Amino acid sequence: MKAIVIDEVWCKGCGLCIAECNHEVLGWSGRRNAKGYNLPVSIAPEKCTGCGLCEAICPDLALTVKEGQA
Amino acid sequence: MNELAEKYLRKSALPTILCPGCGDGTVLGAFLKAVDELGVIDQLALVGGIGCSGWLPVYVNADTMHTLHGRAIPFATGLKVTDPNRKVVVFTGDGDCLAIGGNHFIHAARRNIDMTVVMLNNGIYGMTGGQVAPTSPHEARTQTTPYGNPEAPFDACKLAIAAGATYVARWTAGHPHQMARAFKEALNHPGFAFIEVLVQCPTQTGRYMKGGADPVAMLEEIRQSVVPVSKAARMTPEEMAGKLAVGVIHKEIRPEFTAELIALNGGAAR
Repeated sequence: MKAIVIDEVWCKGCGLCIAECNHEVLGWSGRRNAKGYNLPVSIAPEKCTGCGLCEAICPDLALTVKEGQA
Repeated sequence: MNELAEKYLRKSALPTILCPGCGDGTVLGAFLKAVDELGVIDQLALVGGIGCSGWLPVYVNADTMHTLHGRAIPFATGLKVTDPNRKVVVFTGDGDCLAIGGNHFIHAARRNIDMTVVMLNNGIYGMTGGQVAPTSPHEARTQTTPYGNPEAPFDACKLAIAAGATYVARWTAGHPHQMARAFKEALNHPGFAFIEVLVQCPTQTGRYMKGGADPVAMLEEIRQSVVPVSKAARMTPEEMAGKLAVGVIHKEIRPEFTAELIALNGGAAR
């Protein structure tokens, strides 16, 4: 299984990763970081194919697709 | 944080100053991927102009110059001529490269000096507040053209080819993998390589031209406005209206400026 790790300091909550995913793995967490940006979270990690599109599109290099559990 | 970011970025300068959803960061990620795959971080010399795009070299833990507005290419030319073994990469914006630095750009392309110029095209002057740029679409509303832009935009890739660039490619921020491949080709290309990347600017283009700052919708619109070069070759000019071709648009090998200069000086240019 793949785990999506989001750096909560670097993320600016643009939502590109959520829109980019073809398998609806990511969604909004409902939490905000210290700067007030909405944070995305992996809501359906079992659907992740590890294609890495979310990682490649992230403009803040805040997202990593890793092997194993988060 | 991303593995590549961990490896190559100056962590003290991050998070980036770029607005949420700005495509420039995606370009930085794709560039780091290309650099990582080629393993050329120690040979790099990055030059940035002024504008949001000019910030990208600053984040990379490599030799970096942040230069005057429009003059990134002249600085890079000097750098390449005095240190020919460097892989010189210029990050510039559409205003920086085509307006104030337009003349430098065409002459560097004409000389075919071995460098890679990455032009991030957001269609507006983003950092200074949304003024009309030479790449703003016809009839686009900006801060300085509130009744619509009466001018036609530049096609930067056609300009580069006409001026003599020997590698010309165009991608969008929605094609990070293809962009990384183009960066790899450009870094290995012995001559003037020009890559135009269409990026979304939610803050300025979004506000003035699209009526809202939605990076997801803007990126989708940019993706819909491009067609692959192979398909574009089969389309009529009417079908191509308002669309741009993406992919490797031009590639040739011509004598390179630095090598010519060294040969001329019998090696004295070193």
